[in-house]
Amino acid sequence: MNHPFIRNRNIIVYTVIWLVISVLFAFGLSYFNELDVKMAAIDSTVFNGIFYGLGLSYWFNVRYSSFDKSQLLNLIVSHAAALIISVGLALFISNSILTRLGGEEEYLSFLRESLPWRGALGLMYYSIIILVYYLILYYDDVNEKNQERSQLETMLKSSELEMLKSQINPHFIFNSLNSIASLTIISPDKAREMVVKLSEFLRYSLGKENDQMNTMDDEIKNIMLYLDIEKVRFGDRLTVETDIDEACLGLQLPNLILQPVFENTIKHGIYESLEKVTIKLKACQDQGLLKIEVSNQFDPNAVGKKGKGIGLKNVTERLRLIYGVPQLVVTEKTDNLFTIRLDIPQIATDL
Amino acid sequence: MIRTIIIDDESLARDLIKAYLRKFDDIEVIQECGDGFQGLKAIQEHKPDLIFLDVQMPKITGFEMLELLDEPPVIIFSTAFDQYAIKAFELNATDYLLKPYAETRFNEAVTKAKAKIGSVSVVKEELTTLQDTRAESDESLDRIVVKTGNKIQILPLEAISHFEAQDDYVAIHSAQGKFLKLMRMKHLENRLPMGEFVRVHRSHIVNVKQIEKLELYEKDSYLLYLKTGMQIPVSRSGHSKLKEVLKY
Repeated sequence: MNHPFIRNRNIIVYTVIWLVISVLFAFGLSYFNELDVKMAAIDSTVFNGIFYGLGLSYWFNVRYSSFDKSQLLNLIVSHAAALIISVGLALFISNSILTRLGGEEEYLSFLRESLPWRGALGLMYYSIIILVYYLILYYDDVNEKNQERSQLETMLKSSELEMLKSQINPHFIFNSLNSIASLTIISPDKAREMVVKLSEFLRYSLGKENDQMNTMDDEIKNIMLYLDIEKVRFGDRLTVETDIDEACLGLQLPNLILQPVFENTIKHGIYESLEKVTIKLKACQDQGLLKIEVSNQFDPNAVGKKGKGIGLKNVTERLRLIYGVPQLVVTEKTDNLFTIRLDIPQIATDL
Repeated sequence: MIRTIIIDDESLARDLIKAYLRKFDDIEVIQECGDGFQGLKAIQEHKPDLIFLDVQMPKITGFEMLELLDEPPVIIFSTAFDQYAIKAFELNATDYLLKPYAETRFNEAVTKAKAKIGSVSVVKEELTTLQDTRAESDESLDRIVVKTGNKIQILPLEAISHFEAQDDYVAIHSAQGKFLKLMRMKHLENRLPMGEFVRVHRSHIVNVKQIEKLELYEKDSYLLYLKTGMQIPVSRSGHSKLKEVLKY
């Protein structure tokens, strides 16, 4: 049973609260109604003891009548019935017991006169307890939803990284291997060099743990390997210019976040164009942000093949999930220049 | 002497083919091309016996280039990774090399190709079946490449208002003008994105976004007005397809 007042030793808190109420109640009886202390204590114990028990049972009325707009009437009826029956019962039982225990005429007349305010007090008890139950239900619900969401997001993050990994274009790998095959005949030294580069690139890209953060230095080195390999494939058609502020080499960014950005650049700049292409990479630090800008020329007349933007969408989504901030990725397209800007928050260094 | 052209956008890939071809003294490489445009031009100019053709290239793909050829030479395809292409190849006699390939595999392909040189009908037949298989695959089109004279045009689907069957050809009505292309309506219908194009009649496929209005013409037959002003007959089955797509 998952009763909120019983689980996690909440019953102790619940009991203590009732003890306090009982003491105050007894004190009030003896002070305002001039009962003797013993009688006040007995009265308080019986009256509040009954509500102590009823309070626990109210849970079932809350738990098993769902809070649903369409059933609002049902809900009101069920609570009204529970209220009337339980308070009536409480008054009846407490009165019978106290009549037997009390005996003195003075006390008995007090007991009779006290019925209205006892009823009112019962109503108050009922309302407060029900309110607390609803709050707990609501809180549990929100908690559960939050937990589910964060679980889902973690799963998403890792699955997306998995996807990005498998997204390292098979086309790229097989074509690179073909280039190596060709180089073994024309220029064995270069072939060896390219095998090493491709291996390093693959080791870095495939061997990373999920959700890992890397330094800009490592990520840039990996991207350069990738671009070097593409340069071997496409020769002088591809030029890379970098302008990286030394200070940001130590900054952190999510694992392989730049890979899809550059794949996109290469795809539109090289795969779908015949022109020479210069890819520019700029990086600097600005107020707790690592700012990265990648731009490339593209052929505005190319009628693109499908698959547009999935890589970049993934990058945006991953950053949003990791940092909880939207709009960390901005793209800009002019006549023949495509620019993408990433803002990577530096949480660790900031706090 | 067998005259051949190598069409691949990577120079190292071309170099490898050239290196392997050196062992064949009866094959001469007359030109190398880095993309489909150049390739098409070179083929029309030199009429080679054999071509080596990459599938994924800038501007137009190897397949799109082939669609524009009237008399295709014998072809050895080479591709690194293209699930649709490979599937189509596997169902066909047309030879293909998966990069990277072994020299023995390359030699095999060349030997097979040599046997086919001279028999244009066999080559054409193979190509047609290859294209048919591709058309039946679930790979959807996103553009159509056409040729008028020596000019090649790439038509994005958005720019096409409707297709009209004309014997063995399909007339493509687009923002860039009207073009004829040798293809079958059935294949076209299969490969066009669902919900964007509807075959409203045996000889008409329309772009849904280009529809202006639909009018009852006679009992049971409708007439479709396009934004371009064109009027297109709608068959009964075409009408029910339209209803489904437009949800009215």
